[in-house]
Amino acid sequence: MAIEELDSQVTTGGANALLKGASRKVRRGLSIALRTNSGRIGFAIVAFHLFLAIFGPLLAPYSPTDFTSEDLKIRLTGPSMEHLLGTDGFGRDVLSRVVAGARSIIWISFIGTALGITLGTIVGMTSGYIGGKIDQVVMRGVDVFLAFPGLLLALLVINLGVQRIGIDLWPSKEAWLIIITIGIAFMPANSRVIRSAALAIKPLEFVQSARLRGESSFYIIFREVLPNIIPVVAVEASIRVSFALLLTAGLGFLGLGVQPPTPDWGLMVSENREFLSIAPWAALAPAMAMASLVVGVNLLTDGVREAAQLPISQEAS
Amino acid sequence: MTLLAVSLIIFSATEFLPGDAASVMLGQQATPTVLENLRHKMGLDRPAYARYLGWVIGSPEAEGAVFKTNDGGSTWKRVALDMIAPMTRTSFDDSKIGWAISEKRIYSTEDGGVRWRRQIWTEDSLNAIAFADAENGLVVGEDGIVYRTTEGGFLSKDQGQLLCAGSTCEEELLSTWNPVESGTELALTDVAFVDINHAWVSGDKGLILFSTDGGLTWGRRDTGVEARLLSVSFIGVDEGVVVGENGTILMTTDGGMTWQRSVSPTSLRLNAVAFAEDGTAWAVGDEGTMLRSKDGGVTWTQLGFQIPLTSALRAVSFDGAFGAAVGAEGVVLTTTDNGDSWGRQEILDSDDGSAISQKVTTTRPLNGLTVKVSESGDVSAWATSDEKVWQWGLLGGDLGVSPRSGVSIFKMVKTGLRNSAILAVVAFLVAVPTSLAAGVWVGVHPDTKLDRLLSQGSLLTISLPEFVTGILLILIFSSWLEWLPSSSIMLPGEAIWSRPEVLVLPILTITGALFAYILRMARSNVIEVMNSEYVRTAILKGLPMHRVVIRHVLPNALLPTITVIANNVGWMFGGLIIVESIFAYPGIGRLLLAAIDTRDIRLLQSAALAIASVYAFSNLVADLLYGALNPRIRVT
Repeated sequence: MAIEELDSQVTTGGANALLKGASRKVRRGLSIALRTNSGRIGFAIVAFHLFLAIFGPLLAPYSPTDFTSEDLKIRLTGPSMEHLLGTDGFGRDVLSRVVAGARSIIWISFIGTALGITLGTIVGMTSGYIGGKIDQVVMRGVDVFLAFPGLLLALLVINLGVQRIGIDLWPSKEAWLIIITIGIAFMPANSRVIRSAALAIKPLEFVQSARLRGESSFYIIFREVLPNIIPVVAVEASIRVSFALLLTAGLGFLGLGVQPPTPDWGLMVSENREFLSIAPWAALAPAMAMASLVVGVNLLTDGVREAAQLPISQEAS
Repeated sequence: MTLLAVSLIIFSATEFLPGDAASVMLGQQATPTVLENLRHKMGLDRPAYARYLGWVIGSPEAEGAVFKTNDGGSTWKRVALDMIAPMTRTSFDDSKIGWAISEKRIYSTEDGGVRWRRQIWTEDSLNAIAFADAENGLVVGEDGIVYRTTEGGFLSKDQGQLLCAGSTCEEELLSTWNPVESGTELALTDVAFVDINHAWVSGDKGLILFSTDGGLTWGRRDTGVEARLLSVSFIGVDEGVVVGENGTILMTTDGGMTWQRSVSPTSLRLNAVAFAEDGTAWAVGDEGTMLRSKDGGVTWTQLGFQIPLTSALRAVSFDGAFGAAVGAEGVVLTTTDNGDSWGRQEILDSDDGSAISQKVTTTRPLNGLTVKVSESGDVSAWATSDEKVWQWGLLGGDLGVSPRSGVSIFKMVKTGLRNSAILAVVAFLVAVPTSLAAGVWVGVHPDTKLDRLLSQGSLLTISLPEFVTGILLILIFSSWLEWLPSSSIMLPGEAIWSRPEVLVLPILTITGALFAYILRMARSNVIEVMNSEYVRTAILKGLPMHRVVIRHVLPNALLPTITVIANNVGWMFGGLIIVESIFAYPGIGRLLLAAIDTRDIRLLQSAALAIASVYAFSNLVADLLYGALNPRIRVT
């Protein structure tokens, strides 16, 4: 299948062919993914969360940051018609905060993953295709980074970075530091997977013929190799998104993510943890939102994996 | 190799981010002096590569020690433990109050030398210190430096911030040490402060300075000697002796107005001179030289010992009839009869105060000595050392001392790692066998009800972040059922095993994700292998099912699963950070977070390195295990 596709691309040429080819593949892959049960359910959940992330603040009944009332009695109330999920320790509407909290975690995780995947794909493809000493050196470096837990890296970079970077960034320094950390943390593992995929493509005829035609390495890597490893990239991306979500939420929980009063699920759980016995909903609601999003992403990943026909053991690398 | 690179990453991540580590650590209220002290202590005034090497391998650090005897010199014990500053010379007013100099600093003690407080940190290298009484003191140093105090060196004992590391406290007191113009640029080597008015100083190139107003103004006496003079001592205000290089001995009997050169029986360097109560003068020098003069320094005789000393004697001090001399290689000689007979003493050294029981004889060079006999006749003596010792870094298991708490970082990290390891090991022992068994069973029997339940349940469990699982468990077992405590806070020194119930929830939290993860891996691998041709062949051969599973399926299906398990050891240590945070469990992750909270960068680096090391090590084991179990990949 791959070879036919590529032949047509090579003959049609043109600057947009690559993009078109890739997007066609993604679309076809998605439609295959949606044929599976888990893919469908996962897609629905993720789409719902995306919808909330974009339009949530408009739909939320209250402002996520304003205290609903000066009245202390409004604090930590149970679910009612006024407050469907009750209120938290500051009297803020939990539902509104959960809905508004989708935005930060989703955009941070998605952009962070995109950064990591892009870097990893470029490094992996280039290293795998060029081979030789460069490949060895790069892979050594990757090994070193792999020996480093992502959360630890994030803790170091974010904690020290926030205090030392003088300039203000929109929307917050923490957000960008998390994105960069996710990118750095995911790049090595991702580039390893992509490299092995690229190595499998490298000896095939169409790559060799492009080489004989005198095409540049740049052309071959991005026009011959990349389109053929898109399924691998897609699976990688969907796996990494759920890792990124967990990492971002974990950092939020540790108080190193976006800063209060901005609603953040991880932060909300830790803020309301002390009221767990008297007002469990305030901590449970964001926890459940978090769980459902990751479940959705994982289900979608299963679907994408089936569409790409990759075994689950890819996860191990 | 990998560890080295990991340590480099951690170091870079913590050190090279923009901004100043010391100011980050102290926050914004820090005064410039305190900041500078901390920068020095953290080595931030050294170049980055030197700091890194110092952290990993170690660096030659001047280590000070003060040894003290309370029983007339028969036992010497190290009193200042963990002394960081290298101590060169001391001066004591009585058996409690004393001062010491250390390169560029002046310290004081009020408890006989156990705790030292810094009085001033100068820009100049200091060589000698002397006090006439508890208030009036002089310090001399290189380049003609003279410091003087009339108030014991400090103004207030309450002011200033304390930064303690071990028994060394750096206190920014409003010091009453003031520089005095000495009229020379030559190095000053020793000072004698006879009473509150009369002081003499020896120096380079035969220089002798004198003061008759307590060190405020200085006059110069030429001696016609070119050698470097090293020590000066007076008995009364008239009789004095000065010694120096090339066996030089000068004496005066008119209060230092004129100096005469004495005939010296040696040409070796003489390091120190002192007067005993009976007017005998004593000089010590290189190669164990000891000279005595019974006529105020005119004629000198050399003393021989039964066991000849080869190393240099550096200092000699008398009070009453008691005298002592100390030197390189830890030599201590004492006398109780004005020097008619000398005995060699062993000096005991240890880092943790258990000196007496261990009987470790030090070979530390001793270079300063003060002898004091109290009115009741009790003899005290202090010897100081400034040996440059190799301060091991990471490779020697020494991570230094946390500037925050003053506790050894190595001990903190060790305790943290041990507590975390307890969590991890128990979680592993619970999760691995059960999840493997369950995974294999549902892999062999796919699409049964149990399979669907377990698969979907495990997907849900994997999707839950640790803090969500932890919160749910707390809610169920602690808030509703009230079976288990919701936090694992330990009292300091409390053993983890004394209350096993606090371990249950953290372990359950870790086990949950681990169980689900391994189960999924095992299941999918077993399914994959079950569909292979060799398994079909085995089944068709008519082998019983359990035999097929054990002999054919398991060895092949468990290979990738084992890798995942090994990789998970490292993951667990990363994930432990959050689990420990939820339950306030005193493990390595909690330590890391505490270091972040208190901005203790040294502790942060070490804790991060410990976690990363465990992670890297378990990855290595995973690779080796995989290679050992799977001959196919050995080629690469």
